[in-house]
Amino acid sequence: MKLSAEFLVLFVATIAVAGFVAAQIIPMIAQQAQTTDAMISGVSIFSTGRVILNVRNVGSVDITAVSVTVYPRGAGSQTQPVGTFSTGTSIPPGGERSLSGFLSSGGSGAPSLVAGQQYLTIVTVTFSGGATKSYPVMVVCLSG
Amino acid sequence: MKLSIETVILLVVTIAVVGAVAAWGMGYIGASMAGTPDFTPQVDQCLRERTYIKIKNLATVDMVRVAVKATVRETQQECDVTYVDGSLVDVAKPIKPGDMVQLEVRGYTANVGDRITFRIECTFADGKVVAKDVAAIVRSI
Repeated sequence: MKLSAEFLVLFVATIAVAGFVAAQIIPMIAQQAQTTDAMISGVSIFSTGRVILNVRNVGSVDITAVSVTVYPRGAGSQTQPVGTFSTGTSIPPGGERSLSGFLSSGGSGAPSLVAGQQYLTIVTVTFSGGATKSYPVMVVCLSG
Repeated sequence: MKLSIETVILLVVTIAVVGAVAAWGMGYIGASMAGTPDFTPQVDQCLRERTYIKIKNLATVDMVRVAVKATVRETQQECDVTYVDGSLVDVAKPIKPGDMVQLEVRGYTANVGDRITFRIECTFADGKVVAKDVAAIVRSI
């Protein structure tokens, strides 16, 4: 088989252009495919143990569960939390949910939260596939 | 048209060089655009004695200083801004590109129900300064 010079030039140029375009697009697609991130806002905890928060899915996979763990301000990670709240949910990419519930102290009785005191709230978001991300938020406990 | 082998080689080399220059140029332009200093502010909780705000650094350079002015009833007040652990945002402890951190704003005077407009002024490592306003109502504890 004998190839013409024009064909060769066209062939090489096509490969060069296609390779260049692929090199630009593939990393962007790969980066988007693996994004797991959330925006946490409106976190409020009340002295009765009630907790309210908004979770926005800014990643590209579903959020399947959200848990909230509340520690006293300044406490280390080994400290026993004041209370925890977990809920299953389904938040698709781009979606937002307002979640609310009551903290559980793990033992008997309601968790002891004092209005006006600061608490470190760790919001842990679980994504479809099992990946998790934690978002620390400092809040002042409100009465009610 | 009949092309010589030299012409073909020259064309291929030209295409390769143009492709490389274009790739470098697009990367440079992309980096320059991404490097535009920007941030997103968000008020977490606004109380009489302190306000928690979140800031996300959308630039590709460190954020090395955050200053906040609070305007309450047309009176502007300079505020103290720290991370929630009490440390300052500075060159030694900057807000990294892509990071979202919570800051504590104190040192203003307001009453429950007041509307506060926070002017958040962020300085980036390249010297650029970006300011944004965010408003919130003071809540009671």
